[in-house]
Amino acid sequence: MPILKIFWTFFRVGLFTFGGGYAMVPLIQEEAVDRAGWLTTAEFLDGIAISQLTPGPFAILATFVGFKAAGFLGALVATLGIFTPSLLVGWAILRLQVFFRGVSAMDRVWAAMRAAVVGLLLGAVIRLGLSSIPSLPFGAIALGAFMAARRGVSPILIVLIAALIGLMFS
Amino acid sequence: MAKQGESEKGRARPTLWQFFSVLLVVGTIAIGGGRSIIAMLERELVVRRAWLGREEFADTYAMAHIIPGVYSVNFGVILGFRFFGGVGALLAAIALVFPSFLMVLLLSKGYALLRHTQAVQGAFQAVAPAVVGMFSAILVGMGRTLLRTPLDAIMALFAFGGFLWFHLHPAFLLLAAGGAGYLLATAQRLGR
Repeated sequence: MPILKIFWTFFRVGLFTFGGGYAMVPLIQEEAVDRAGWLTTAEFLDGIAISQLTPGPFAILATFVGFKAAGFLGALVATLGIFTPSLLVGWAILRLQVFFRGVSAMDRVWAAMRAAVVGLLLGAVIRLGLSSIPSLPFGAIALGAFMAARRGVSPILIVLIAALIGLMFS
Repeated sequence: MAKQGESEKGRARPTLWQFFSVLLVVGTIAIGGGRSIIAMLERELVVRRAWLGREEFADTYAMAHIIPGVYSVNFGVILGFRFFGGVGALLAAIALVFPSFLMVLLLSKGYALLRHTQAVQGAFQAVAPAVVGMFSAILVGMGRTLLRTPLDAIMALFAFGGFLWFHLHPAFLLLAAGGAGYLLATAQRLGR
């Protein structure tokens, strides 16, 4: 059943996401783009742009990828799958009154995992960059977006300006 | 279902419906991912309505980072659990996710229809490198706050190399990093 596979894939992505939604990018890249082949790297980048344009959590990227994989039903189960682990683990923690923060060794575990997320994301960005920057002008767009984002320009504005530049030269 | 007036440390709690509707509004208008969701929730729940104390807010925020998933949704889920149990948690997740789910669904449909037109292809061809640039900026910020010790930097380097060159699964690398962190902490404790 492809629908079950989509749910299970995003369930695992949700289970291994710690911190912000950006931590999902390397996981979804590995599972949906490289392994399952539900979408191309170019389409994945388009999905990232769309997720940044819409309000709400960035993790909604799952909806886009699920839609590419299997239409509406795919979008629905991908979204359910990605948020189910939070509900289950959140419920278990509060139910069992286990407060990981009290265990000093756990602090180290979370710190190490978050540091690993930074490394994974760097790997993902390099792979995405290699496929989306075929020539110098595209590199200039990436550099411009980087500097604008560093100065706090809203992602929506950056995406819109880039889209406009793309329209002018297409 | 109404539990109005129930208090913890003398604080007024919302009804389930009040709680759900505030989160739904935040889920509909908070553009910019988790950070803006948390900023809006802080203003709505702590400052404006005083349903939540600053300390409770900070505790919930810390906890949202240690359970799996996205911290912004986790934040709502934990609050929902605290206020109303399982139903509250489920409704909190729906309130934060459903508006953007609908919007992304519409955009995905439009994207599928228009993807092959020259204009859309041209636009997205330029948006892709912009996304890479924005992510690099996000990465710089994350690196500055998350890589505090040389040990953190080594963990990041191992995850980076394992993912990019050895094509190891990200989940495996995360678990390995967590395991290494646990071993180091234990070794440190025993060495004392």
